Amino acid sequence: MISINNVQKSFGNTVILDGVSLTINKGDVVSILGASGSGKSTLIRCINGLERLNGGDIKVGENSVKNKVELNEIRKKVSTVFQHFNLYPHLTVLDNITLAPIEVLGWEKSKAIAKAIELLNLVGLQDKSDSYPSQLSGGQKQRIGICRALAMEPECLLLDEVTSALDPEMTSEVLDVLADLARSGTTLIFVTHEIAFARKISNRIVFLDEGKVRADMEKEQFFSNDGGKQDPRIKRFLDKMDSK
Amino acid sequence: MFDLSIIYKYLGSFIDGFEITASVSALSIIGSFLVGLMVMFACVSSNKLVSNIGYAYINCFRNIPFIVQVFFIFYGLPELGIFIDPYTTGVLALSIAVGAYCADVLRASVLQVDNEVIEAAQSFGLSRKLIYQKIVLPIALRNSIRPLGSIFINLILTTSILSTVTLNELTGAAKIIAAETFRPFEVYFFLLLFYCVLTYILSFLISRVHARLNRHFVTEN
Amino acid sequence: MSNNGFVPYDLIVLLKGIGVSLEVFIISSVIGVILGCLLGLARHYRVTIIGSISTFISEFLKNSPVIVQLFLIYFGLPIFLGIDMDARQAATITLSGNTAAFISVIVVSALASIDKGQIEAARVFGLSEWKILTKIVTPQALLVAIAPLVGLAVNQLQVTSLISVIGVMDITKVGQILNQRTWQPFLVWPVIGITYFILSWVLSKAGLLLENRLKKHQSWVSI
Repeated sequence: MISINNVQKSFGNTVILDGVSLTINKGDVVSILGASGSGKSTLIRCINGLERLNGGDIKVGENSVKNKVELNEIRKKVSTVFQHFNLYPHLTVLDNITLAPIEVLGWEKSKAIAKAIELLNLVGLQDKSDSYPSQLSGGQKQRIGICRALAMEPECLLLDEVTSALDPEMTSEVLDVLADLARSGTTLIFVTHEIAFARKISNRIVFLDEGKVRADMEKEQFFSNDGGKQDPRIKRFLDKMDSK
Repeated sequence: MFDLSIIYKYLGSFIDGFEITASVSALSIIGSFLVGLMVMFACVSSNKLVSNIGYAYINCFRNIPFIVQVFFIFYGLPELGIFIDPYTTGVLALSIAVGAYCADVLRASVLQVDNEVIEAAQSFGLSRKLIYQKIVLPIALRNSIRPLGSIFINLILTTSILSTVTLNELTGAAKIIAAETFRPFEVYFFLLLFYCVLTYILSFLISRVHARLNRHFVTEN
Repeated sequence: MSNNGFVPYDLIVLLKGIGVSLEVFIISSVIGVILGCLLGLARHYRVTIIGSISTFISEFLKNSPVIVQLFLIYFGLPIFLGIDMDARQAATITLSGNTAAFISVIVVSALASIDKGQIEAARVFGLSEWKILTKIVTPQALLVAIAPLVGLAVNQLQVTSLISVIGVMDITKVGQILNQRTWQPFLVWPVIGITYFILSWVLSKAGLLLENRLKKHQSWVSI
């Protein structure tokens, strides 16, 4: 469904992604792990077109991110949830969620509102529909961010370190919602530091190191001593994260 | 020695002058805001030439004294065969000059809109036009209320310069009253006081508008 | 007057006008800075009566048109006080007061921006208020204040154009005279405008240099 082909991305003289290739299939729940600076967030930003590729290609279905018109089609099918929520501060929660479906997908206002309320119920924030982002806690904001992304009825959801800005209590609120999503069969691509969580809900782990895919394997294989942990870099990474 | 009774006697002409000040100000505020919007769009355009023109406009009109601009229009237009009265000259000059200040404020507000919020909108496929319309402009305008407010209050004070091209706004009226009564100190002192009070009232109103529109945006982070 | 065109001597007249504008500008700026700093310090350290009077007067001068202030001082004060004053003196006095008002605001806000914590620490270590002011507060406050001060300077340079209205032979007044003689507003006023523009540009570039110099000298700018 999403094919990432030999992607190259540099910022100035610094190479961030150095020939990354991956295929994501429908229904996959993929966690992308790696040290800071390994290129995980950049990869996500290449998929949703916020960063332009210096080399290689990314295709979602038939559409390539390199073509402006096709990128627009991709954006209708792939939604993103951000680390810092990035909600529209001047709009109510309801307007935040319905803006893109109405303006980009061309939905009727009533249809968009109905969908929004359904999603708010799902995450337990139905009474916040008329609140403004500044009135919400971090965990609530991120759940709204998830609603906003799901309102587009995407084929795939990109989640860029969505719990990194939250304290432990809020983190678990959000992780619960994400676990439900994973169970429901939505295709998810996570960039995360929450190793335990990644282990629990994903079916596949991709390990990025210095801009390259160092491992791409089924979940349990990655965490096993004769699978992923054979690789010294991965072992060191997992040991370091475990001691936290 | 300090005779304030003249104020009472000449209240009529004073009020006439105030009416002119008020109407010139109102029209100029609208005019300068529109000019400011246009120049702001020029500045943020991706076309290098257009954006350079925008920045040049701001630079130019902020570094030339207003009175010189007024004289240029007042004495220059008749040479082109365009005869307009001091009132229109005033509105025109103010709109052009203050427009530069408005443009600078608007430009700064637009560029200050959190890039990550814009990226979120982009990632959902919203077009550039829609992003401007629904996200950037509403946020930028809301953030511009305070600085624009103080620019507009300044505009009202600047209308006093139009008295030099025979417009009988407040200051022009005061000049006549001072000449007739031979009591310039009291007249100008009272005039200064009046402008001061006017400024305070307007500042207060703008604060209220700003608070009202921003009541949902508790300063966080 | 029979001569309707420009003569080379007009250039000298313009230069003289520039001289007058700059003279009034520099003198009123210097007085304004000294006065403004004193008023600002008085307000910051809450030197009771002076502080309140200073607030009062500077609010007055900040929120009213300069042209009316000029009229008050030039036309009103002599009659009120029974003294003689020429236009240039009136202009200098008015602009000094006006500048001082704005400077006192910049000073107050720059002083307030200095973190209280380090001042308290200095006190606890026994430093006198004067030492604290000169060694700790002023260097940092200066860095904060330099940008708004330069902006104010450029603005006050524009404001000097108003002294032409009470008859001072500054750049604008020269423009008026040339305009009335030659009736070529499309030549006269752009030239006057460009004159002010160049002066402003030089002033702001000088200000930028000063700012960079100060910043380099104090490389600890942000902790």
